[in-house]
Amino acid sequence: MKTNWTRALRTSIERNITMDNLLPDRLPKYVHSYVYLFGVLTLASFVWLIVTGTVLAFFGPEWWHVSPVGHFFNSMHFWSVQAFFFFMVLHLWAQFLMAAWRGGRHFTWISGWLLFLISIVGGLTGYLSQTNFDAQWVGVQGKDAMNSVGVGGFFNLLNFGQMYGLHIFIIPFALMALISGHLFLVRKHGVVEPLPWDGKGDDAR
Amino acid sequence: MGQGGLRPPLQAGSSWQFAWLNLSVADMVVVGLMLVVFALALIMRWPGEHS
Amino acid sequence: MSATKGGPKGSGAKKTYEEMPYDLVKEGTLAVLAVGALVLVLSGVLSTPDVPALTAQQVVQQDPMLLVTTELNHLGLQDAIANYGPPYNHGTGAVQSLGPFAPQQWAGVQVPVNARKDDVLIPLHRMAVMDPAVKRTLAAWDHGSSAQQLAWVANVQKVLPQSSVRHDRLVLPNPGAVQYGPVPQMVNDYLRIARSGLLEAAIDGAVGPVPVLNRTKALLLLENTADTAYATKLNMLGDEWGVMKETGNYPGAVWLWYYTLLYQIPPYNTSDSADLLAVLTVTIVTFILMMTPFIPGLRSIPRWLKIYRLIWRDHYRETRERGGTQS
Repeated sequence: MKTNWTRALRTSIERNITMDNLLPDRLPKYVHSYVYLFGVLTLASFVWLIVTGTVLAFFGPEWWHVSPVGHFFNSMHFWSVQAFFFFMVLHLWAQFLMAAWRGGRHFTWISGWLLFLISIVGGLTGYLSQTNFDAQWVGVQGKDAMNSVGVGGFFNLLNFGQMYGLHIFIIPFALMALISGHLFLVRKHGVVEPLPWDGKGDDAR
Repeated sequence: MGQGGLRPPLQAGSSWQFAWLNLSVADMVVVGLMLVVFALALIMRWPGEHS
Repeated sequence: MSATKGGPKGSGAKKTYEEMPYDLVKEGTLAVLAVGALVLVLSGVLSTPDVPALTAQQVVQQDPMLLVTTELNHLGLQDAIANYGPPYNHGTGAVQSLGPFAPQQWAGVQVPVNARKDDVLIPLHRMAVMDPAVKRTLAAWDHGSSAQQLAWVANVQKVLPQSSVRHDRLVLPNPGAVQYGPVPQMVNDYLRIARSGLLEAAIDGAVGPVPVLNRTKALLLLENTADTAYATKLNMLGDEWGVMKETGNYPGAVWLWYYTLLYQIPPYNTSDSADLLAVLTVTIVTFILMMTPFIPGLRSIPRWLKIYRLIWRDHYRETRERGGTQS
């Protein structure tokens, strides 16, 4: 019998992604600290980044310079960025201190780092999309770093159109895709088990 | 060259200079808050009967 | 790795550890509301800075001699872009490499910029269409040999400390002297177009009514003179962590500390290839951190720090109280 790709995909999804895994209503009792909240707070900040960013994108890049309402949405976007990175870094610290890559969770750890890196590009292109002195100065300062590694030609910080497109579509899209993967991995593997009290154990990873 | 002429609409932010280190006060506040919030999250007792 | 063998559920946590009811959706909703409230309060109380971009018009109004210097640098081929190198041209001035590792050179010229022509001569030529006098000045410039042009510029630069700008005209100590050539008139025309606010537009040109979205050439005009002077006043220079600083008393890109820190310390702060060195270092460090799960020693740091005992203290106490040995 020939392999049916559709059935194979369905079976694979059914086997790997169960609703009990994705949306559990029970968690292990050791999940008992405020440090577990930094991940969801990062995610919540991202929600606000998308909401405020959508409003800013809708009215165009000049709007916030001339409208008090626009300026307020820019402020919300700015402070969402600060909150996003604030909680993301604390989340990173917490996961590091729990050695949360153990038990086959290394791809969760790696995808977290990819998210951090793409978020940094998001921050950079955001500064460049501001169409003010910040954008001007970050552009002329940052271009030397891009040029020095040979990417300044096709990732041109002084090309507003390119930076804006990256910032409002490509990077948010990539972040959403990666966040979905990151969350899926978190749910698939469950919350990492506590380290043995003395730190010794066989699960070196 | 008369570079004193340009007038930005706002003052430079406060910063702290120590040898080669020049950190803006606002950035240090953020980092300070990160440390405080993280320490609090570690120390504070999670509410609930679990004790 | 062994845990994944247990089946699709992955970790063995669900089998070994006691569970409690938990509401992830409620937690997520509350987190969104809490962050939303925080962001609203911060935006209402603190707002955000918005320092308008620095324009040539503003430079003419506030420090015209700075624009004169900039223009003469460009005409004299002494500006930072004239001899920059890839991706703008075949110069060598800003080319960075580490031994044979020269990615900037390998990438080649991808965004061709001729700073003298693009940033000074082209806007003057566009002006000449409307003003025949400008056309005559440019014709005189074109008549000079390369060496003659550089000599004119050098002669004006020599007397610049004794010169000033009055009513958008460069006042030289020996006005009309033949050794200046058409340069003083070119400066006056340049000041005029800058005053009008059209200089940047005249540099980047236009495609009819469609906006020009790539402003590379116009942004490169002021980068090393007026922009730097402005950033100095805002305490935003590179050796003051300027890449990550925000204007005014606002937090900047704090998350870039582990990158911008490098520019402050040796060997980065003295290297001609500081950018390349810093980017490479950060790339390698980031890759190592990303691969922590596979690096002996690095992955054991959490066990040495023992902060996990604080995070899971309730779990350990319960296990002890139950007389468990497993943890």
